[in-house]
Amino acid sequence: MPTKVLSVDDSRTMRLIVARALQGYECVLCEASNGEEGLAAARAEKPDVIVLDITMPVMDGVTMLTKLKEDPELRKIPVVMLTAESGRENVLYIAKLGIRDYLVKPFKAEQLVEKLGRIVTLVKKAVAPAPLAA
Amino acid sequence: MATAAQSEEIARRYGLAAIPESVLRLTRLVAGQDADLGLVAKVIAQDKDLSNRLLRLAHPRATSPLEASPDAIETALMRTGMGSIFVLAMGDLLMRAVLKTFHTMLGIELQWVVSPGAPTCSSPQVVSEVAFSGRASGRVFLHQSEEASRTITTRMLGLGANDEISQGEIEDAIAEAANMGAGNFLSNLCDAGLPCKLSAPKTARLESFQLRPGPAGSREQMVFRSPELVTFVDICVDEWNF
Repeated sequence: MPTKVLSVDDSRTMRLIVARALQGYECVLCEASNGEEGLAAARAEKPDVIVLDITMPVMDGVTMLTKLKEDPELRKIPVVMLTAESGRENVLYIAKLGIRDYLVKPFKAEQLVEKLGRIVTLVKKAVAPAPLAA
Repeated sequence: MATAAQSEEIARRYGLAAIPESVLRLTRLVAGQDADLGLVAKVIAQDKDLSNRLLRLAHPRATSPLEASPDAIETALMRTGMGSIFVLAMGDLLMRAVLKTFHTMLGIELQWVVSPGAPTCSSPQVVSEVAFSGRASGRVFLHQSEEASRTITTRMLGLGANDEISQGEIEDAIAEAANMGAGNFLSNLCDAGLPCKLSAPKTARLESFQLRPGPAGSREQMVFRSPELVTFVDICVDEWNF
């Protein structure tokens, strides 16, 4: 079964970048544009891992993470923070809430794949064989 | 508050970047409210880029390179006021964040163009604004021509030069670039003892854009160039609370 990844970010650009990073892998990608939608998607989709931004409208990533960890059904879903915020105080606070990893924007696609690959199984998509020459 | 050991452990575990020592010292001098002009001048004099930028802040209309002697640095500090140190330290952190964002996300190696002789931005422009508030309040702007904004978007999304992109996609990509640069900058400020909060970026296409003039030492425009594009980053401090 393909790995299910939930990407929560208010920036469509960033969700596209995450999708591109994972396009070569057997993944099902679900998306949400704020913490509230992210929680709903986590309940509905039961993803294997969540990639979570911090600064978002409606509900930010820290609030979503807190609520996720309070929910007995969702608390075990591993979370990787993907955010431009890297202040030590904030990172320490978030780490204590319970995250599996933290990746600071800007980042390279390989870094995201590497971090996710330590948490879930990422299988490379089989390359279709080239058509035989006539 | 995190201890030094906790900060180190967090930085090691998640691979967080360190702040340059000279900028850290400068920011802490300002944050500690015990800034002494001579001491600040000494710290600035040890860093060639900081010295040049301070002299440009003090003499924005200078058309030839300025001599960065210790006396000239002290005079420049007296002319611009101690608040300008904040702009200098912030500008340095912002510059590093912008260079890193373009390098990592777009594969574009920007060079900081030292005025005088820096290019000016053609109109219309795509402008992204992020406000910050805390010990200092102000705004950061990332702006460039429409063509440069299109290049940034195609690079960020991994598209071809001839792929169609909507205005909304361009504005979202520029907002994200500004968010990354400003977010990094804010984090470094917090780590240096100057906690600030950022607003979400606001991005729009404008027929023309120019930073309103303000007191000496409260504004700085940084120009960056690469073979592909020219981009502009303006920092403007409206108020500081020391």
